[in-house]
Amino acid sequence: MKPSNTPSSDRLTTLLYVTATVGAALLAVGAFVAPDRIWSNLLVASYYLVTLSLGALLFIALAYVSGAGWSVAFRRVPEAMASLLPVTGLAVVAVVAVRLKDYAWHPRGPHSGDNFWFKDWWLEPRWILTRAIVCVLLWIVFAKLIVGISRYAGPHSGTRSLTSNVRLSAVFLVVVGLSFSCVSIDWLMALEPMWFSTMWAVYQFSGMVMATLAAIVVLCLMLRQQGVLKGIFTDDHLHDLGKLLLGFSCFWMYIWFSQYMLIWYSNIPEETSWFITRTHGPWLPVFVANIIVNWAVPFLVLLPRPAKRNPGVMMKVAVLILVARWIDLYLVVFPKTVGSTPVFGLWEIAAITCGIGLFGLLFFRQFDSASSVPSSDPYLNESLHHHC
Amino acid sequence: MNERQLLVTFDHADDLLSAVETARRERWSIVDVFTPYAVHGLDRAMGLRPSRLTWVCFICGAIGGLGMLWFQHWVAAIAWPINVGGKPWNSLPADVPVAFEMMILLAAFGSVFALLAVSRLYPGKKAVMPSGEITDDRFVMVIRQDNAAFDADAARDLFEQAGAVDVRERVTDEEL
Amino acid sequence: MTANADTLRPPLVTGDKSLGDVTRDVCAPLERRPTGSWWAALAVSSTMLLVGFIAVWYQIATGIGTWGLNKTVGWAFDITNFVFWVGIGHAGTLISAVLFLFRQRWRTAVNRSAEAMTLFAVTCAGIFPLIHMGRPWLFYWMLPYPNTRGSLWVNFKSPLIWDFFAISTYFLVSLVFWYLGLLPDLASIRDRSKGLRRKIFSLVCLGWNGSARTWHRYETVYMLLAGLATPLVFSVHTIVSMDFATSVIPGWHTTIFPPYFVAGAIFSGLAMVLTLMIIARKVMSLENYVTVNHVDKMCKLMLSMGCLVGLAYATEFFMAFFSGNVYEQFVFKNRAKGPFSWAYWTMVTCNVVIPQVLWLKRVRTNLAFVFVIAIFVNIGMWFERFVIIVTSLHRDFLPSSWAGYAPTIIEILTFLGTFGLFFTCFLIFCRFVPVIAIAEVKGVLPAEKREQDDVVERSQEVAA
Repeated sequence: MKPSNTPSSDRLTTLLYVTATVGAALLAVGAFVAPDRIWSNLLVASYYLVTLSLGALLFIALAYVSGAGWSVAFRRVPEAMASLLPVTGLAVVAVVAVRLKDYAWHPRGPHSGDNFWFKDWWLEPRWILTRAIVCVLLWIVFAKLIVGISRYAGPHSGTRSLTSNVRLSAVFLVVVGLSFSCVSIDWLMALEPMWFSTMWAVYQFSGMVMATLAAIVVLCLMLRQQGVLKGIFTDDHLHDLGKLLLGFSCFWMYIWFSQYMLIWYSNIPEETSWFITRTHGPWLPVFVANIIVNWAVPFLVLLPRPAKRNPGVMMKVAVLILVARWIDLYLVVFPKTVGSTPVFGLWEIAAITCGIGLFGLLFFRQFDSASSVPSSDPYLNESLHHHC
Repeated sequence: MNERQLLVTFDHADDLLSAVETARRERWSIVDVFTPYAVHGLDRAMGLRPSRLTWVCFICGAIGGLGMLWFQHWVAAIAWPINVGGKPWNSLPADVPVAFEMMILLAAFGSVFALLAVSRLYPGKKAVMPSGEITDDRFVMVIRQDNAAFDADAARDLFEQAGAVDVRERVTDEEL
Repeated sequence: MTANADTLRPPLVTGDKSLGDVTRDVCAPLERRPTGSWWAALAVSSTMLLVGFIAVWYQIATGIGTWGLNKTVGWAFDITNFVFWVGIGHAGTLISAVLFLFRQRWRTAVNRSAEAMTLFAVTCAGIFPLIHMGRPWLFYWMLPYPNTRGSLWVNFKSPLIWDFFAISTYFLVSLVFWYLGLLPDLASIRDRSKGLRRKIFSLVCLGWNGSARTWHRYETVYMLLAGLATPLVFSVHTIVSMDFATSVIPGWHTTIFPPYFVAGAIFSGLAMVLTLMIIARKVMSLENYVTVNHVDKMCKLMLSMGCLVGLAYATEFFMAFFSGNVYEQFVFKNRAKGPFSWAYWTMVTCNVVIPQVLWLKRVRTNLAFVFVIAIFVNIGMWFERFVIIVTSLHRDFLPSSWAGYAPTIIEILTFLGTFGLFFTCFLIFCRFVPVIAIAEVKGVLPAEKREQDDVVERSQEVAA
């Protein structure tokens, strides 16, 4: 079922083109004017987008492995998101590669000594780049395999495709656990190389899943409004996504609090340094706002049952969570790269609009390139009549 | 007050559901339906409103959580402040675990006690049900014969065609 | 036409059971005399319980010196066993609450016994904080109540107090959840009984009558309890992990402990559920309800939790070297090569290596293999807590304080006694309470064949 070129989708495409181009142009200018800030924005934006794509693939894999039938009807949406892994993966590797040499990734200098032999070896620039490329390549391979098998499943090979994808997904889960832990440490935690937290990868994982679920909600609602997923993406699907969003928002809060409280409690200076920068002075309001938009508001709004079935409410909460995810990543990157005062201006807006425009354009192009429903999946019927 | 009732027994959940829908369509007043397990879709078929016990849960939880936060603050910052590991008197991060647990405890107990109170379940209550087989494998719908216009025989035929295992009338003053 | 989804999902109850069959099959063990094997098992477990009881009595009367603890190793068997039992309890709540929220209907065959197992495990766990106090008879000082000592309130900043609140809440909420689930089943038994038995079950089922209006509210509250129990189960083992993580000791102070401990708890709990259910289903003839498919699903869950635990091990090890903290690095070197390396390698083998065979469906569906693997997992998880506690304590910052540790016979017998308590409670539970959630299983029975359809089908076959 190919979507028709409705006026609304044309308008949308034009809007996305404009935002992407204007944003990109501004970023190009900024690269000469304020390179540090532009690089920080590019890191946040590219990491944000690659985790959206990876999170979508993870969503598909988890559905396969757990034998879930409810999400099959709208599976093309996360599939299209996951198909963007080559582009978003390349973007983030490029951003990391650009600053490898002259960024203080590894403490050669007064901190170096016998103690830090492992850190010196691990944060060797070529090794960071190699790991980044290997992990992204692995993700791309699994995305192509899993999404490919799902998209090109013939009308009579539905069960066979399902079995293959379940096996691939199980292996992928192991691969993503190790590779995502690795890259979240390399790309974000290593920005402050003297700091460390074993919870880091779990923390980044929780944010990734929240943002992915919110993005799926937004995109499915948009596609339903355009008519493509009308009658296919039901209010019951929306309800389930709302429940997952509520649950993972609480999970994010749990992980965030565990990390914060344990470091606060023991009060060891080499660990508290990360939080000290972010809770003093002008960063404190951003720090508090981060918790409010990532957990407090979604929790209170999504708790009642009718809210999760209301497209208007769900769309607003999902957009809020997408914004909140940006603030979360902003709090990770900017205090180190930009300094003691939070900044939000033209360059940030440029990066955000460029990111939205690019992702949106590529997503809709990918979505249109395949059928909008996995018609040969054995669980499709169950999904379309899903009741919750 | 005595009332005439029609007891319709089924042995299959689907039959019961369609019979309940029939009864609602005919605007007969259903006193209650008795089932051995929670039949999916029955509350919708009967037109039951969503339970307000969710509010009880939320309010009890809020009282538990916020109350315990306040109590811990009072103990550590007002009543008898003691220097523990150099932590500030008012340690919000350290207060969260206990407040969270009390929130869950009060929400859980509040909801369950409210459920028992509203459903009038308590130790020593004599179970009021039309048949002892309900907890085994029979589904019973009890219809009140409201007015003289209620045609018991027509209803009986309708239900028997729909798969009822047994249809009988009774006069009772039991509060169901 | 694509394959029917029904053929992909194996039936949850095999053997063409009707609603009445479910009631009969599950109530049968309660209504006949206990078998010889039940009496034998009870004899063994009550002996263990008695031995443990004597050991604890002796220890409380004589003092904590009867244990092998010393100034350096202040916690060992006592807290290891505490965390071990609390962890086992977590599977019950996972199966009851978390799987309910995820609409996994296969949980209905195992949730009743898993929840009961939680209650017994938490009871066993609660014994240890109680007896490890120097003056256990003053345990009530943990409760904040107005008193004549100031009032001297409890120290809410202490993770040990958080533990007290967490474990008590966990026990009480699990009890209420289990009891709520039992109400309809107790009513089923009441209606099948006569005389004194009927009176007792009448009393405990609170006058349950199967009214749909009550079911409606009941389902709402059940869902609320499931929604409350899920964060509860996460928070309880998180708070237990904070007993260690809030310290400054290398090997203990690490931020990943909360989710790592929760994953480990679910891992060991599932192993215990599997151990118990594989035996119970055979002895109580419930193979049609706790099918091989159920065991397969629990194995997959267990495997995924085991992989998460393995990932946590790798992360901790990595971060020890990445951080450059020599003390943290030493902890890991000491674990692998020091005096307790035998415990460490047992842990790694049992938790990470052995469960990997569960990737094979052939293994997951072979109940004898699964039983053995589950036992290994429990052994491994016990050693994990032992390794975490003892290796970090016995050799920390000051080498002159380094010490050894060996358990005394009192500690070993106490631990044995908790197994006695656990199995005795479980055996009594199997004897008097329906082991499977009757009403819930009835709700997931595959669509029953009606008698009329059967007749019509047969006549069509004849005509064709």
